[in-house]
Amino acid sequence: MLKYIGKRLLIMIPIILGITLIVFAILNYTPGDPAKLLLGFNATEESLEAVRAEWRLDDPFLVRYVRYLGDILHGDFGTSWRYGTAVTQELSTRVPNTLKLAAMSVLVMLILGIPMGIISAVKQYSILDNLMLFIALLLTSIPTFWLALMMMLKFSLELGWLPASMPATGVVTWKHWVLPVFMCAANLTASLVRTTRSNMLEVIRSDCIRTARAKGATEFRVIAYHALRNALMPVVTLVGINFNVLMGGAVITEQVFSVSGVGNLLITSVRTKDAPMAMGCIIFIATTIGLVNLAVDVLYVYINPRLKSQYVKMKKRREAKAA
Amino acid sequence: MEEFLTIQDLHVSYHTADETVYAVNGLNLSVKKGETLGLVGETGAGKTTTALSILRLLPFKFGSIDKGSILLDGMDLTKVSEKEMRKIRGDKISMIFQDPMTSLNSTIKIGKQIEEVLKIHRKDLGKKEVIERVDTLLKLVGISLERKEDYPHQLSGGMKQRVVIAIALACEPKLLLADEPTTALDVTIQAQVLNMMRELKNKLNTAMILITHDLGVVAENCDSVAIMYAGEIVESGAVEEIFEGTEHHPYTVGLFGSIPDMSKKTRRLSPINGMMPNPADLPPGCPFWPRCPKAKDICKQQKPNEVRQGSHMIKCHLYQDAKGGEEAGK
Repeated sequence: MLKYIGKRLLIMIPIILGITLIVFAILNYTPGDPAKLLLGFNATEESLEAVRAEWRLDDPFLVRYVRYLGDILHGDFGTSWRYGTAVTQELSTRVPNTLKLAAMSVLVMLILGIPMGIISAVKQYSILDNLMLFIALLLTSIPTFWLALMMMLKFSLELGWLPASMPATGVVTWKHWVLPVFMCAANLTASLVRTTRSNMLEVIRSDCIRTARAKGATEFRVIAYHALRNALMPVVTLVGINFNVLMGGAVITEQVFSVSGVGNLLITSVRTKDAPMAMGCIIFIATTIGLVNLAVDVLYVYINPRLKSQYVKMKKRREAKAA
Repeated sequence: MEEFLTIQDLHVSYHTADETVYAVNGLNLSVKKGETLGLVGETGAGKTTTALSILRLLPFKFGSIDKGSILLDGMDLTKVSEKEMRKIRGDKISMIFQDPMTSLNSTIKIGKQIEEVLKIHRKDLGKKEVIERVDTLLKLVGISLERKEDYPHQLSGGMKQRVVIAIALACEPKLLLADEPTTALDVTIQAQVLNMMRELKNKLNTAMILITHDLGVVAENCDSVAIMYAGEIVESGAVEEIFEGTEHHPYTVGLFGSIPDMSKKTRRLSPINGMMPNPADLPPGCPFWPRCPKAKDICKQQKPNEVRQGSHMIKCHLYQDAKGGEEAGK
């Protein structure tokens, strides 16, 4: 197992290298002079030259790319062209927000989605089931930004219960998180309800569930112990994918509620051609996605005994060989 | 010997959106303590439905027991509460399912799956005793104890079926419903499993309903036989009465006739012509008449009554008309 994880981590290195190369190239060859963007269009040729020399923008593309990689290896992700601060410093204030938002959203999605899916499947075709499916359909089909605006209107402006956006400075309380988290979780919950429901429906009709009933197990035990285990495997994948989507894709939510997260930062950086900052964001997102995928795969092995036994067998075989 | 299980006039149907399927239509059956009854019939005759009705495990919402009674030791299983029923399932009555490949939970270790029945029904047993009992059961069905930690996919089909049997026998049930326990297994394993079941049954004095369409299996394992067709028992009796004697239901004759005889040179198999009637649209009269070589006019209109001669029962107009219904089976 450890060997497998090690292998997967090694494979991530070329992947991330590839991503940096592609993004670096795109940022490099898109029109626009970073020096001009930095100083404004009225800047003198001399000051522009000075800036170009300072950032070493005149070197050939590959030289700069290799230099960038070398810096990264030393832990230096460069300096933001826009803010003039270290990329790592800016990221370190943004990453916790993005992680918090993603983690809380996934948590809400699990807490709401799995029970809703189970109830829906167990009470198939009942009013409750139809209600759940209706909610799920509604949440999937309403665009996030519109729902976010409506929520703001209702809960912030009209009722005044929750703040509409996060303060740039000052204390952020749980109240600030409620709307963004709900917004992110809404869509995900809907997909989870559907996945859980369809998986459960398949499982509760299977022979092994009939065997469990024939043992005299209570209905609760049949569902919670026998059926859920079998139905959860695809759910783990879904959670992983959704977490990844949130890493880079919570942009709309972050913008609407002005959460200072990585997605927000990435958009601004690309817009202002702040190449080092954009690179930093993308490397962070790519690495997180890689790690989450790995975590999902490892978790999968622990949930699905068929996969687990493959690793156990390898171990046993090796032990047998050694003996 | 006293009757242990008596089923009287059982009607079971499945309801789907556009039709009602009459799977069991007025079935009468009885099993004595320690007796093995072979329930024989074509696919779709309602054998499994009958077994599931006894356990009240018909598919939720689709299947329902419409009429009749199932008496177990004097208690009507169609009337007891669900809670009461749960206590009976796996304890007094347990079932061995048809397909060992899918009837075990693939995410739970087999040891745990056997343990579960004991934990549900033998609450007085301590942790250690439960484990001891699981070990005994595994030994009983011939699985080495190291396999306890294995998951179902790590076992062969025959071993899985043994685990299923171990689960069924864990609480020493009074009645065992074996639904084609060997159909999914190859012939050598079949014999092993059947021998094992016979031994265990004798040891525990369990009554058993053995559902099968293999007449050879019936001849070797059963005390009595019931032939089922379109949800009814058309002929029943002791094994000798069904396998020997001259008077039989035309369907039974057809069934035995379709077994290829190795001692004669025949070019073709002789199956029963036609198909089982659609259970959603049963013909009036005797359900077998469209395929019956001896069908008469009355068969098309009137359901035959049961004609009894000792323990031998035939449900056919052939015997009612000719001999006044009393002497059938002689």
